[in-house]
Amino acid sequence: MIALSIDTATEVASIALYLSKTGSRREETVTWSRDGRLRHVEQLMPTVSWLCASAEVAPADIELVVCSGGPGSFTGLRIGVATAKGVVAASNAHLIAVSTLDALAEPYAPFHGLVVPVIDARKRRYYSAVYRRGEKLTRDLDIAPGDLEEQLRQLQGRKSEPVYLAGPHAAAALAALENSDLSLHFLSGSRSGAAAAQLRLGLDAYARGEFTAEDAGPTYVRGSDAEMAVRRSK
Amino acid sequence: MCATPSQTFQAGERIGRSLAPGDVVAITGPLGAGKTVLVKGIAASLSVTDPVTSPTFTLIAEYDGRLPLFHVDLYRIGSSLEFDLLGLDDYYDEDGVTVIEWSDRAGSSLPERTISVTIEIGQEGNRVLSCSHDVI
Repeated sequence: MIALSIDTATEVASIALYLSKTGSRREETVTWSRDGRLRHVEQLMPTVSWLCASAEVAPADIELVVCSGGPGSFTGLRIGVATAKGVVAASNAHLIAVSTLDALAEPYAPFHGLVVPVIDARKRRYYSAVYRRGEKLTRDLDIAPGDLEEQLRQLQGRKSEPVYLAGPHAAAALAALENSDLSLHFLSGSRSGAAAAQLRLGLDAYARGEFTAEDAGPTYVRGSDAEMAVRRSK
Repeated sequence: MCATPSQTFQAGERIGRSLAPGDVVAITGPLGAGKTVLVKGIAASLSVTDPVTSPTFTLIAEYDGRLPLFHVDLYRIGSSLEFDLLGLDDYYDEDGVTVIEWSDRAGSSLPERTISVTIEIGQEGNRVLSCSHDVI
C-alpha cells in the first residue's frame, strides 16, 4: 500500500508518503512540512516528486491520495484538491478528502479535556470544532472568539476541563481569548503540519471504504455576509 | 484632474511609488474611465516589464516587479460571497501589492487599510481622480 497525503489548507503546508508492504508488518511514513507563506504550495508537485523519488516510489504506484477537505485558505484548498485529483487521474488511486479540523485534532485524541483546533478565517473569526477523546462534539464552525468561548463553556457543563488549542493559529486564538476564565492551553506542535494525521484519518476511511467523489470540491464553511450580519445582530 | 490617458498613467506612477508590501489599492470608475491605464502606471512604477492587460476573464494576474503586483478585476463577480470565496485574503499576506478594479463588487469585504481611488468622467471628457489616502 502506498498513500500520499497533501495538506495545503493553511500557510503551514505538509506532505506525507506512507508505505507498507503486503505480508510485512513494516510501515514507513515520510513527511515534509514548510511553515511560511501560502506561496510555497507552488512547490507542491516538485516536492511530491522528490519525496516519491527519495522513497523509491513510482508515482503511478500510489493507491490512495488524501487531501485537505477544508475548511482553510480557499486558495490553498483549491490547489490541494486540484493537485490531489491530478495525481489520482495519473495513477488510478482512490481520493479521500479529510476535514482539516479533524486532522489538526487527531494527534491529541488521547488528551483528557477539550481539543479545539483553530484556523484563522479572517474578519476576526476562526474555523474551529470541538473534540473530546477523539469524539467530535460540534460540526465545523465559522465562529467569533467570544462565541467559541460560550460554546466551550456549554460543552464543559459544570465541570471545568482543560481546553487545548491546536492548529496553526492557536497562538492567535489564545491571545483573542486572553480574558477568558477557561483553562486554556496552547499545543506547541500546532505548526508542524497536518499531513501525517490527515494520512492516518485517510487510511481509516480507506479501510471503511469511504471514498470521496471525484467531482467533490472542498468545504469552505463560510456563511454569506448576510448570514454573518444576522448572527452579529443577535 | 487628468485631461489625457498619459496623465492618468502618471497618476498611477505616483500612486505606485508610494506603495509598500501588503498594500491594497481599490479602483472604482465606469467602463472606459481609465482604471486599467491607472494600473499600468502603478505597474510601471513597480518596474513591471510584462505588458499589463485587463484580467476580466482570469480575475487575477500576477506580475513580477520591484514588488510583486497582483492585478485583480472583479467585473465578473456577482456578490460579496463570491468575492469571499475567491480567497483574495491569501494575496494580501504576500509581500506584494494588490490592485483591484471594480472593487465596489467586493461589498464590505476589503481590508480596512485599503487605499480607495475613484475615477469619474468629467463633463469635458477629463478624468477626476479622488483618493482616500494622500498618495497622488
